[in-house]
Amino acid sequence: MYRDYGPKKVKFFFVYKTLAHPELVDHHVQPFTLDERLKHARLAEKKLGATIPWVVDAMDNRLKHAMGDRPNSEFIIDPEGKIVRKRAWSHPQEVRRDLEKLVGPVEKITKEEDIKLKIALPPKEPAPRGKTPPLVRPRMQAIVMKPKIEPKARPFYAKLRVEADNALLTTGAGKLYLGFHLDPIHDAHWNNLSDPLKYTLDVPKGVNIKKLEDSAPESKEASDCDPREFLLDVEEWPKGRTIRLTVTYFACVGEKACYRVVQEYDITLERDRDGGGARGAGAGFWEPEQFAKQMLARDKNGDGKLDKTEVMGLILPHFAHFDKNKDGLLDSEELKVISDWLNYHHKPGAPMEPPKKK
Amino acid sequence: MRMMSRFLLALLAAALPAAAFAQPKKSEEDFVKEKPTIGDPLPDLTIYTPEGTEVKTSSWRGHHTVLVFGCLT
Repeated sequence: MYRDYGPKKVKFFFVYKTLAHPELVDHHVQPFTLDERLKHARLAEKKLGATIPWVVDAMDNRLKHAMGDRPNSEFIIDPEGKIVRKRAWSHPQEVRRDLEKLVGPVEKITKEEDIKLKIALPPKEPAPRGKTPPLVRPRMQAIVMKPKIEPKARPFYAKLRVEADNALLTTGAGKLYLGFHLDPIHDAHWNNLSDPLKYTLDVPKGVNIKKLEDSAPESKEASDCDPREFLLDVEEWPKGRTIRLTVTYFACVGEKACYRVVQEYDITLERDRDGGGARGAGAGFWEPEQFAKQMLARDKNGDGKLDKTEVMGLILPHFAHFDKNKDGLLDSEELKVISDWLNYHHKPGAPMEPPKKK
Repeated sequence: MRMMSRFLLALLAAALPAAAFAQPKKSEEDFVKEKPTIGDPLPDLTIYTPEGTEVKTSSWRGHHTVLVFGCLT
């Protein structure tokens, strides 16, 4: 579409925003600085290989907030700057129909097979994952935390993710998740030859949390990239009271550069609407039967399969890839394959190559 | 093809969780009713290129512009 309508002076932009599902794809986590978000956008640009330019939302997520806070929404703006189309989920075929009405048809429609995208694989991680089973955390939501960023200090090689369960958010008593996730864009790994990661909490009067300090278990590996996670019991946390967290850890970048890092965060018991749904908090796992059943809820004509008009979002441009029998439809078995592969891809420690066919 | 497959999964992951499990029709209808609605001006905000250069959304005026939100995950 970009190739077809670019010459007709239509501008196209991908808008890079806060992560929808931290930890989910290649273990990426929410950036803390604009520089980190710009690196994400450049990585997305490289990975996708598309020529459509990206723009990057500011760290206060101003454009996302102004446009309705959806993860994959799309808009068409007219030459006077007014919104003329909006969708909660991107749907390229509908955008093409819109542009045909707004700008006019094109002589030759570029087809999927005409586009030779140069796909880049994610970089290899500096140390293994999957050595420590991920902490099972009940369905939780991100809460607001602010890292204390010092201009000349070392980057946050490990980034804190804080989540609260529903009980904690509504009553002030419940479960609190603290997860320290290495940020892949810094290429860092834990130095397990030194002391394990340790956190301490400085809580104001009236806040009662068990385990105000704790350390991650010692690892048998010299190094790894697994998150260091803790699930705490909070007995009392009145709203409006801020907790100060200090974390100390040892991380290495590359073979020789290893550092002792001390960093601080302020945490408040308030839902973070830009936090996204993390893998451990429920996103990222699909039970095949259930997945196929829920996808088939879109089957408008009742034939038990999905055609191109019954799917949406980013699956649409890749429909042919998953249509193994090339009948122009996705059946239940083909949908289950999608869920299998998704689950495999997001398994901690999964190797780069997909599983071999049995 | 394998390289492509792996990347496609990454793309799908961004779209599927909510797309698959939400109630898309209701969600779509709600979204269209929410602010900003059709006919509203695109807010004039300063954002960035991936290289860090500031961009004002008002600079897109004069052309039809298609915006699609996305991220790495």
